[in-house]
Amino acid sequence: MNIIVNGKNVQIEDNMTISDIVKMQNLSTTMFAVEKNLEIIPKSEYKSTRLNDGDKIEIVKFVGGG
Amino acid sequence: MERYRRNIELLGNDAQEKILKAKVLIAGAGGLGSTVIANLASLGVGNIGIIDCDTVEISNLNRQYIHSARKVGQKKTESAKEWINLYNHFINVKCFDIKLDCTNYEAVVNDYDIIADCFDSYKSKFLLNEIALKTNKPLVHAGVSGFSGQVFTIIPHKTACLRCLLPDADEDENITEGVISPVVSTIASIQAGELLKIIINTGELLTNQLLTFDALKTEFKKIKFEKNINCPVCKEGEIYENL
Repeated sequence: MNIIVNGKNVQIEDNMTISDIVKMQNLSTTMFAVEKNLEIIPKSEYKSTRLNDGDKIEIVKFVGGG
Repeated sequence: MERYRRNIELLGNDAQEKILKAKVLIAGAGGLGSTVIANLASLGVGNIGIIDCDTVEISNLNRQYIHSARKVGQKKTESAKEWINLYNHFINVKCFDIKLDCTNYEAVVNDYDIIADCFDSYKSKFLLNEIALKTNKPLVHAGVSGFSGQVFTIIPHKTACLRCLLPDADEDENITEGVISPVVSTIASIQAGELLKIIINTGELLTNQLLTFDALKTEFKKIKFEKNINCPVCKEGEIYENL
């Protein structure tokens, strides 16, 4: 199925979760949250949140400057 | 009150009275702090506390416009106070030239009703989040770096806090990106708007939602999130990590 991650179309296998998408990003920071369809997914739900065709996922970078 | 006539036309006399009596603590007199200070001084916020332990550096002047080249080397708190006094000398300004920590926060925070997070590191922002929760003061968080920024408001023990949003984030991460004035002042203006809404108790606050700004796309997004019932900081009765 197809989802959109950070504005780009990505083809993924069925049954993939938010946790799988985060791993695919190879992020070097812990300062991020994951948004699915304009809602933040709690970290405790990454492994249990399955994706549906057409879902829009954003890795929201959290910035700390002032 | 002629000075505030245009405020009053929009907000009313009662709201202006509340603004004149308000006590706001601004944590950080850098980029975000400059715009928050300028906005609050313009509105007429009667009591402003400023925390910052830094001195003005020449590299600050690309965005920290309340300071100036002749203030380089001066304490930022004093420089900010001078700016406010020139702009609106009716404001009672108190300077705290300290690094806020678990030993000194009570004496600083207790005299104020609301806190603005204009600090410039993850560590100080997470500490301030804990302080706001422990002292039960509303906190308007903001952060900025590169072309991005975010704002949200925390009503202690009622709405989600910074740790609810980022339960496992490493506070010791460094910030290495550059930063430019248009992005900082946009985010700080929204932050000041949140402070005003708390003071006069009007409108809808950015609680349980993160406002993000991408300056390259000129795109704002409001993203919902929930209070985390297992949040290590705001969970009822939990011990604060840093205090």
